[in-house]
Amino acid sequence: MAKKKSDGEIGYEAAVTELEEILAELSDDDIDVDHLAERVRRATELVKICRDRIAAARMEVKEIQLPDDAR
Amino acid sequence: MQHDLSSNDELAQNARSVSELISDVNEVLTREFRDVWVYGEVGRVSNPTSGHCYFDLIDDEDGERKALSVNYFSGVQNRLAPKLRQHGIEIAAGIKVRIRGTTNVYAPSGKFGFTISDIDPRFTLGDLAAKREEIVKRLQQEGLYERNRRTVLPLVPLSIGLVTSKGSAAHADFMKTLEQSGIGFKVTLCDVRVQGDGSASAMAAAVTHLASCGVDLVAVVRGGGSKTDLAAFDDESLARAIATCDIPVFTGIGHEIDTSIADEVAYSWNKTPTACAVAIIERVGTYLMRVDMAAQRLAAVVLAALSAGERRVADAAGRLRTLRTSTLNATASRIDVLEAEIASHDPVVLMRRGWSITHDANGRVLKSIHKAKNGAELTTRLADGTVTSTVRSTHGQEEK
Repeated sequence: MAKKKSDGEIGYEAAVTELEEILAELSDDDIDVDHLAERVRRATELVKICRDRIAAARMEVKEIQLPDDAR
Repeated sequence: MQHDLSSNDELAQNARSVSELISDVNEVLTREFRDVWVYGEVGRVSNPTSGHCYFDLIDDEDGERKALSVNYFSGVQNRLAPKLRQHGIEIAAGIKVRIRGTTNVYAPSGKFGFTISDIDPRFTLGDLAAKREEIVKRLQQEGLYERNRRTVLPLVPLSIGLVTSKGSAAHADFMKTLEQSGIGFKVTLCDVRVQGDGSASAMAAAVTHLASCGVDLVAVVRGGGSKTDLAAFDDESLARAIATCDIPVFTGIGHEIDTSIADEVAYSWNKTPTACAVAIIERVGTYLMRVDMAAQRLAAVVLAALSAGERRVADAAGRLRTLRTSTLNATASRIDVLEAEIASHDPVVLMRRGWSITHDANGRVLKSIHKAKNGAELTTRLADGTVTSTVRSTHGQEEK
């Protein structure tokens, strides 16, 4: 299982790995309904985290100067 | 004295004016050094508004600098332009050339020079290729040639260090492509010269500096140009900076023909700045697609689970309905049987068929002739009322 961190700092690899693990788990027919609801909630949250951080943020541009000794 | 005088006369007769001497020298030069080939490295280049070009052709074969002033007139430039363009060559400081022309002394300044009539592009290309081969060989021997390709590219490289000339078409194309992706990239730009003296070392410093700023990758981009315009990208200092960079370097250099050493040692090389931006977007896009696919599968799993639950509820409701109907039916038929049974025993029904019940004077049902005494009053109940009678005689069954 991927290492869990708080949502604010979960890495992209960890997020997508956890998501895929949940999907594998949910594909099991024997999963009980209460557990299903809880896992679906977490999976939905992970999808949102991944998408929001990448696609919802605006592009940012900044400029830096070379240090004097590198010019 | 006579001798001196005659000598003076001789001197006077043999002495030339400056014009005569230059003219004579030029005559010899034209005769002896016409259409000669000479090679060397292009030094300082001057392009005045007249359209002519002047440069120094230099060499220091024996450690001592020698220079030849070269005139590259505009008419000859126009004639040679297609050939040079075809090979991606432009006269620029630092390139090696083999040129054909004529030597002469320019009378107004007395300066010895060389006037170009032709250029051999194969020499320049060969020199560039040889230099390039040497650099590549050194990088390979030091284990640097593949080094940058062994760095790890983050799954979602959103933070990009950009090395380019601010305001150039390459800069605009790269940024526009990133913006159009709708992805929240964070670009840190380091504005540097990408052509000419000092450009290679400036780009090298920018790559190294950006890598230390915590970006996910460094992109080096510039637009197309001649081979000599792009000479900085074959420079060893830039190649070393890219090769030894601890994060992946993406290049997007507008080559017309082949790749530069910078491309060869980079993690990812791309033909244009736009293609470079696309390569970065694709990396993030691959991740987003993975997330989207997971989201779709999640929706499918949830739908499947819901419809399975719905089916179970519907099945249970159906079974309940069937059960209720059959129970009711069974009950109803039992009632019918009972009803028929009850009906069959109802005295009223029997009486309608002709049966009757007789009571004695005490209201007891008369079940035997022995209980009926002569003269006793009996009450017989029929379906529609009662009959009162008096007993005159009784007869047993056997007496019939």
